[in-house]
Parts: sequence; C-alpha cells; structure tokens
Amino acid sequence: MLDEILVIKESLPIFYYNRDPDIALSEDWYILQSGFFVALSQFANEMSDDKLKYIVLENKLYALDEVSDILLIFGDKEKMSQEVVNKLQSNLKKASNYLNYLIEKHNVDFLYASQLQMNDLAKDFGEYLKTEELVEDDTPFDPQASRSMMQKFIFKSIGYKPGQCNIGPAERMKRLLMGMSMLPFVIGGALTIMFLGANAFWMLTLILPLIMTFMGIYQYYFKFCAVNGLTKKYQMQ
Amino acid sequence: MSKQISLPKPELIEGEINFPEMIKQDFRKAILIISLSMISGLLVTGALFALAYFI
Repeated sequence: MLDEILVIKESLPIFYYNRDPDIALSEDWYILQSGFFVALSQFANEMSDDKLKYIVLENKLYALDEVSDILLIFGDKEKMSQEVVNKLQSNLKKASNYLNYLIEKHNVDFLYASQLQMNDLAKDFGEYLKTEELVEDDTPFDPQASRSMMQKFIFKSIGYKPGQCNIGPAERMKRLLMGMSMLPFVIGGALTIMFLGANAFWMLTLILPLIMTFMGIYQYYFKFCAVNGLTKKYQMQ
Repeated sequence: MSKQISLPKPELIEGEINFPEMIKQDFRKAILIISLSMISGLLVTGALFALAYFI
C-alpha cells in the first residue's frame, strides 16, 4: 500500500515513501524507498556525503548506474527489516568506498574523463562487486527495462492490476452513483407507461438508461472503468 | 529512516498505460463490461416490454 509518492521526472531521482503495514512499528514509521539514476561520479560523491539515494523494491535494493551500464542489486530474500536495511546500507558503503579508491587509482577527473577511462573504472568496479558478491545481477543496464520495472512497481503499489482493477474506491463510487442516478428514470418511465396504458413499444426507449445503470453497477462491481480500459488510462483515487 | 516526511500530493495515482500486454488485458475487460451491460439492458428492456405488451 503506497501512501505517498513523489516523483521528480526531469532529473530522474525517484523517491518513494512507503508505510508497509507488515513492518510498520508505529504510525510514524516509514520505510524510505527511494531510487536514483545517476552517473558513477555522482554515485561516489553522494555516498561520500551520506546523501545517496537508492531504491528498495520487493526486498531488493537497486542502484542503477547509467554510465557504467551496471545494475547494482543488493538483495536479500528475507522480509525487509531494520537488520536487512542496515546490511544493505553497509554493502552500499563498502561498494562506495571501493569506488572512491578506484577513482583515485585510475586518477579520474570526472570533468575531463574520457569514455575509455570511465569504461575501465566501470569494469574494475563491476568485477569488484561480483568478487565480493555484493551484486546478484550484473546484466547490462537497460534504461527501458528499468523504467518498465519502476512503472510496474508503481502500478503494483497503487493497486492497478491490468484487466482486473483500474479505478480506486472514489472512482468506483462515482461510477456507481452515476449508474444509480439513471434508475429513477427507468422506474418512473416504466411505471408511467404502464399506468397510462401507452403502447408497449415505448418501453424500448428505456434501453439507454438501463444500459447506463448496468454500466455503473458492473464498473463498481468489477472495480474497472470501461472507458479507461479503452483509452489506456487508470485512476486509482 | 523512521521519521515521517511531509510530501506533495501523489502524482502517479492516475495516468496512462504504455505496456501493450496491459492495454490488451484492459481492452478485453472493457469489452466484457460493455457487452454485459448491453445484454443486461436488453434483457430487462425485453422483460419490461413483454410485461407491458401482455398485461
């Protein structure tokens, strides 16, 4: 259950603050789920300043690096707890210290560093991470796949399920009310036709409000808006 | 880690979907709901018509 979310789209740091009922120790307890897409140099600088932002998705901590093409995954199969978070942070610190060491060793000046220097640095760093078993996955970083992963995580967090649920409680209620508001027209129309003894074919005029009533009821029941489904949208309010 | 932070209103509570497989699933469900509504509407209208016609 995602309580609050802040996305800074342009610069691409992504922060999630998620209060998970399974790990919530109190009402004030938030698990910081923050993500970053930064260059290797920023990774090191942020870490050294204790400002590093990272992302925790399903008990794994992801650090995505676009320069080195390395997707860092500091994972743990256990339920996320303070100990696991501490362990992940310690692993990140360890990796960062080594990265700083590598930067000094390769004498890299990030303002004037060549692509070759950056590649060497990234290669050494990647090997270190594998040797120390700090990463589980060293497949090349695919920005598109990462964005998809992030988007799917967001969908999951807010409750959107493709083909099952694309509207939240407020939107469901709105559709139910819209549907039910047509019901008086149907009942009134049917009674009028019956009592006036009008031609039975007049009953066919009630088909439209009836369809709208059923649309509202079904959308409420299925938690799914048909119009959103056709226009590729979701509204989870 | 454990402090509560005040944040702006959620931004991604609504938006557009850009995954073909999800769009396809949503499309099917939308068609199902529309079809069900049409059938239910037709049935009830038919029943009302029959009621008015035979009484």
